[in-house]
Amino acid sequence: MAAIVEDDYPKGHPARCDYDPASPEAREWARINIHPRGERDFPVGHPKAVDTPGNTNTTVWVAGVDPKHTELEAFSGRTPAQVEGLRAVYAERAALAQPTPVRKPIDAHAFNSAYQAKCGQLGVCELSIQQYNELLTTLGQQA
Amino acid sequence: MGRALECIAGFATNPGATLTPITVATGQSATIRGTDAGKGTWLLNTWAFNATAGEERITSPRLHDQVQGIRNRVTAAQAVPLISGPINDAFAQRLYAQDNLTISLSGGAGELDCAALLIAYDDLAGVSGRFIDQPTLIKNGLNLVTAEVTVTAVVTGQWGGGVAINSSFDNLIANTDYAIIGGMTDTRGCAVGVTGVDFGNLRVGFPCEPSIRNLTQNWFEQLSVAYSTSFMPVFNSANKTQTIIDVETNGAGGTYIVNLQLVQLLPGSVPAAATGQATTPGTQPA
Repeated sequence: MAAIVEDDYPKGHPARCDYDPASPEAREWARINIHPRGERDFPVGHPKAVDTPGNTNTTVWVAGVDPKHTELEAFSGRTPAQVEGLRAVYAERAALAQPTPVRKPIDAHAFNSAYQAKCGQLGVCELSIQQYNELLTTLGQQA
Repeated sequence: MGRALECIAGFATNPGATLTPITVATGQSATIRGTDAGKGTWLLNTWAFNATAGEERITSPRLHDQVQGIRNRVTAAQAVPLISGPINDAFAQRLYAQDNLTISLSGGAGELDCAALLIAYDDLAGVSGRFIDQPTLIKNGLNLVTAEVTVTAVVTGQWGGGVAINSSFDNLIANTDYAIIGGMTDTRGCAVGVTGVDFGNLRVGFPCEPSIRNLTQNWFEQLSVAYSTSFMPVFNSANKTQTIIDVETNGAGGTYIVNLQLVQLLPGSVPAAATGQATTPGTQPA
C-alpha cells in the first residue's frame, strides 16, 4: 500500500521549503490569496466574491419569488400559463362569490349554555344542523 | 359580559394622493362600540393593503390629535402591521366608547385600497367572547391541528367568500374546544376574518399577507403574550358550521387558501367568559 504523501503547505505557498516566487504555483497562490488592498472576504473564484463573474451578490430576494425564475408567480411558483388558466377559473368562481352575511352580536356564554341545555333536553351529545339552526333562530340570530 | 375582539376593515376607492376616509365594510363601523367606560378598549393593531404605496391615517379627537394622529406609510403590496407589535412586545392605543375614528387612506388613483383595524374590548356587554391566555394554552393544550379552507373573495372591498371552518376538511373532534392561535394565507389580501358564536358573532382577524407567515401563524398567541392577557379565541366544534372564515381584499379579489392553526384543549378548561379588569389611563390591556 502506497504511503500517503501529505504536504505541509500547498504548492506555491510562501511557507513551503521549495517556495519560488516566480513559479507558476506561487503566482497562482498569490493571485488567489493576496489582495493588494488588504484581506479578502472570500478567495478569488469563490461564488460570493465580488469579482467572480456571475456572483449573486446583487440578487434581490423578494419574498416568495425565486430569483432565478422571476417569471414564476410569487409564492405559488406557477408559470404564467398556469396563472392565466387559474385566473379564468377564478373569474368563474368570483361571479358566484357573495359578501359574508352580517350577523348580530350574540352572547357566546348564553348561546353555549342554551346549546348544552338543549342537548340535555334532547338527550344527545350534539345537535343536528337543523336543531342547531333552530336554536340560533330562537336566540334571534341568523341561521 | 366579557371580552371581545373585532377586526374591522374598509376600503377607499381610487384615493390617489388624497387622504380619503374609508368606507367601512357592511355591518361594521368605525365608531367604537358602547362599553363600560371603566373597562379598556384598545386598538391592538392596524394594517393596510395598497397596490400603490400611500398613507394610512387614524384620527379622532380622543386620540393624540385630530390632525395627523396615527399616520403611517403603507408600502405597496404588503399587508403588514403598521403599529404596536405584536412580536415580543407591544403597546396598545386606548380607545373610547362611541368615539368615531376617522380612518383615511391614500394610494392609487385607479384602485381600491383597503385597511383593517383590530380592536379589543376588555368587557363588551352582550358578547362574552371566549378567549384564553398563554398560560391557559400551555396548561390545557393537547394537540395542534390545522383547519384549511378555500375562500373566494369578492371584488367590492367587502368581507366575502365566507366558508365554514369545516368546509374543506371536517376533522374536528365533536364537542371539543379549540383555541385559534393564528393562521396563514397563501395569497395577499387585506385581512382574514373568523366569525363565530363563540366570539359573540364578532370577527377576529389577522393580516392576509403570505410573506409574514411566521408572524401570522400564531398571531393571537403573540398578542396574548405581548399583552399578558386573553386574546386567543376559543370555539367549540359544536359551533363549527357557524364559525366562518372570510377575506377582505381589494378589487382584484382572489382565491385564498387559509390555514388556521388550532390547538385542541382539555374539556372544560376554558372559562365561560374572560373579562378584563377595570382600566385606568396609563395601563394596557388586562
